[in-house]
Amino acid sequence: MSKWLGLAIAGIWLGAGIISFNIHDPSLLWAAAIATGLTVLFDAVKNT
Amino acid sequence: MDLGKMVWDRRQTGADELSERSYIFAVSAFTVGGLLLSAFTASLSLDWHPSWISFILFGLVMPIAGIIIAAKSDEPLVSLIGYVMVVVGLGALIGPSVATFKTAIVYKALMATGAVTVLMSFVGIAYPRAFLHWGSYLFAGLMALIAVRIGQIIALSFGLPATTGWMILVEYAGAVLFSALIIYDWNRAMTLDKTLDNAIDSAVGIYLDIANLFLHLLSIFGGGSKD
Repeated sequence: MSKWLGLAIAGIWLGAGIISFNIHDPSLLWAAAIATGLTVLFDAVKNT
Repeated sequence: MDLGKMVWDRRQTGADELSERSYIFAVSAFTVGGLLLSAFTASLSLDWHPSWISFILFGLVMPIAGIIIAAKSDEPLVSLIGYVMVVVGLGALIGPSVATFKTAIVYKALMATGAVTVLMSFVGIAYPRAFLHWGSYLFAGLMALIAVRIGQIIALSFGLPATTGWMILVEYAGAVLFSALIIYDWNRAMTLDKTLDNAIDSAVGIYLDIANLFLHLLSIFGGGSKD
């Protein structure tokens, strides 16, 4: 998998988090999802 | 993607090098410091009801910018600023979510996270090449986890339960994955030149692993039960 694909996946994922997050009902799912997205993003950025 | 190459292969020589003991201490200190700062931020944001703008700025833009700054900078001070942006932003985001769980469950998850982290860190330091060749598999695991999370989001958007039944297996798998990533990131840290900047970069990766592990353990121990 290319580093740019990794970046794209991380970007799409974080974008989905922005669109889907319900600020009136914070759930662990969103925090876990965004934390996982940040982990992927970090590794992708480190590889570019 | 090979997690063990590119920027991770950054090499420096000369007076910037720390002794191995000092380097391990620096990575550990930056990681623990980040966790404490993140916990402090989370404690301040327990009752936070952010607007969209503040959520995007503090919960997403700030940690994303921090990751880019920390990963790309060769200057320890700049990397440290990026790291602080990551831990403060993610801490602020975690606070309101953690607040929905009983205090005893949160403490139980914290204790378990601490125990697993110490054990995995010891393995990662004592056996510095144990998981180095697992990079591709671990990244594939992260991709699979993200795919499942997207499925959960879709389920939620259709009003279906996203965290019941077999989904608890996903939480266990995530906990195992991030436990392995702690070993892997320590292995990777031990192969780098032992500079202060590399210590901070490594701490960012290990911090993210630990934060993810905590959230998965919280979900496992909470079992969906909240206050």
